[in-house]
Amino acid sequence: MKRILLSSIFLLAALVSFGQAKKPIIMIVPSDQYCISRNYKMTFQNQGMTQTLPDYKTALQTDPDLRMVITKMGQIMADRGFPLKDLEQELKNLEQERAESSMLTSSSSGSEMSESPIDALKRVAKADIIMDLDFEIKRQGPQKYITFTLKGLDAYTAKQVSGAAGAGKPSTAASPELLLEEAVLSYMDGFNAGLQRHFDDMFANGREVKVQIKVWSNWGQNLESEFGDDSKELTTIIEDWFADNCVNSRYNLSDASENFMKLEQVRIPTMRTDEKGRPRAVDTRSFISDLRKYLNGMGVPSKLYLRGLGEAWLILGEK
Amino acid sequence: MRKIIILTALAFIGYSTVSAQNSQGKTDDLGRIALATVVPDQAEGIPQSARQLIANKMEQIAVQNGLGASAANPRFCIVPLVNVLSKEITPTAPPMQALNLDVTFYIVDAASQIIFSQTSIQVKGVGQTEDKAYIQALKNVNVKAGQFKGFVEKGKEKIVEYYNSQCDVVLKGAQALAGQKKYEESLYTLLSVPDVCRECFDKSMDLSIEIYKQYANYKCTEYMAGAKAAWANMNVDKAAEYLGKITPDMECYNDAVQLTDQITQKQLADGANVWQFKMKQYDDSIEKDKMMIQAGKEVAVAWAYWGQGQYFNWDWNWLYKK
Repeated sequence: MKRILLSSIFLLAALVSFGQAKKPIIMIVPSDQYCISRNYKMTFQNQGMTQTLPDYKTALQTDPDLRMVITKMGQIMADRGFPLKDLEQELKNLEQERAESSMLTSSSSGSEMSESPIDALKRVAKADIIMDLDFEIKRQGPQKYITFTLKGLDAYTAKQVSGAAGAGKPSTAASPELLLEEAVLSYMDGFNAGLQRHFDDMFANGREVKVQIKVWSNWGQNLESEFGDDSKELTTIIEDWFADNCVNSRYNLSDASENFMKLEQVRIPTMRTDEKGRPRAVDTRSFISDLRKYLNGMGVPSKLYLRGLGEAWLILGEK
Repeated sequence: MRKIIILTALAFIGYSTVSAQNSQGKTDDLGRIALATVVPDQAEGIPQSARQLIANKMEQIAVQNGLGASAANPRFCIVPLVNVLSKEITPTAPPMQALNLDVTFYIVDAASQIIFSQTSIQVKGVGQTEDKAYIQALKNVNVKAGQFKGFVEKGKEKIVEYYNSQCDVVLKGAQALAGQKKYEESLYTLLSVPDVCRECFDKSMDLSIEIYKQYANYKCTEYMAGAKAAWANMNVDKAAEYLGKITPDMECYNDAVQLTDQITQKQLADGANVWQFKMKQYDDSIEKDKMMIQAGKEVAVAWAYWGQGQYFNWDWNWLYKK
């Protein structure tokens, strides 16, 4: 009880300090292993390759244990001031949104809403932190026990920010529901402590994001082309900009060629002050937007493509 | 003077009224080529639900750049070929399928199996199912794009050009076939020349009358021999069957009439019932040339229908399985 209270206080403190910053969206998603092993799966033929993917909708509609665990975890997180996005409801919302946008027409001309293939591709359930869940009710003679794995994954950096795993105490008397509830309660504190450390780190050292710099094929120049008064290569110019603007100059150019740069562990500030002196929350889009303006001033037009709160692509050559 | 002015005014009004009745220009050879749209079964990969959509798109391309035609008996057609350049399935909730398609349209002569023009366009589509992704991608085919105007114009030009340049070869080939007594195939070749290539069409029609006459006379000799043999065996019904096939445009028609009379006389002399058979006769009001072209067409169609032409193939495999 004491542990629960302490972790709640820590989380609340983190939330107060992050009051202004952009909050990551957290969602519980059953793991691929959980879904596929229980036959909640979809199989696709893809140009000679068979691809198996989890069928979350069927899993959520038909698995009572899964629903129970998700509800219990959601309740604990909500009690600690961090409401979760519900995957089942999100899938329903997406279906409804899809139907509404295909029916919506302008009243004056009957025009449809403009939608590119990439817009359609983005209409999927999204979260910044995924709570990847896997559990199993096992038997040992007359006794039942629960094995439980919960991973907190940053959707953009693919880093595990928190985790909890283990097996519950075997019991002959308790029902599987009770065992599951007990497992959730005993592992959530450890998980939340990990999440807390992640938020503390984010507050102290900036949000960790991923940035990719790419080049349109028809541009005619590349990242090795020279720009500016001192004729520097574009790669160097961009690296210098990251060194100047990242929190404590922290970034990692993990891979690059003349056509792309992959920058990981880029630490961006959570807050900044805008031209009117107001405090503004910073996300990857607004951070990279400054780089776009900087490069535009050097005669390098570009398109900013957002992949979520924690990842953005800057494609050079044209808008 | 006043009379002259009134008459002049009336004449001018009359002229302008007459000329205003139909100001539409006549279509030339190119304009007369009607393009049918066909999505053959052999066009694999296109889901059933997207077939009608692509057919409609092709019809719009044909109509916006000339004439569309019924697909019931097509000669010049627009047909599609869809290739999947890439297909991605995202591991998201729900999984999305992203297709990158290369859609190629061909203008072909279905009868002689010649491709006259082609154009391709790359389209992208995303959907929860493959069918939905196909439909979204094909929806993005912009029928007003400039490339389609050029595609149709080039196709039509090439159709006319082909028959104009190949006319002598087609006519000589038909004559050669007739020389080998392959009259049906010869007529088929001649009647395959489309009416949009006026000059070649006229020449081939004239030659088709000639060849039809040769065919008719060849057949007449065959029928007469059959009729005589049947009569020698006193098989009146069989003789009547052969004689019934002989028409007035055939050279041996008079011989057939004589044989008919001979059989009738003999029948009467033998005291049999009156023989009801009468030779075919034509109404004088029917133009003989037109009749012969029509008869020639029937011969050519029958030859094609029964699949005697080695290259005659309506199943489109020639285009889709190379």
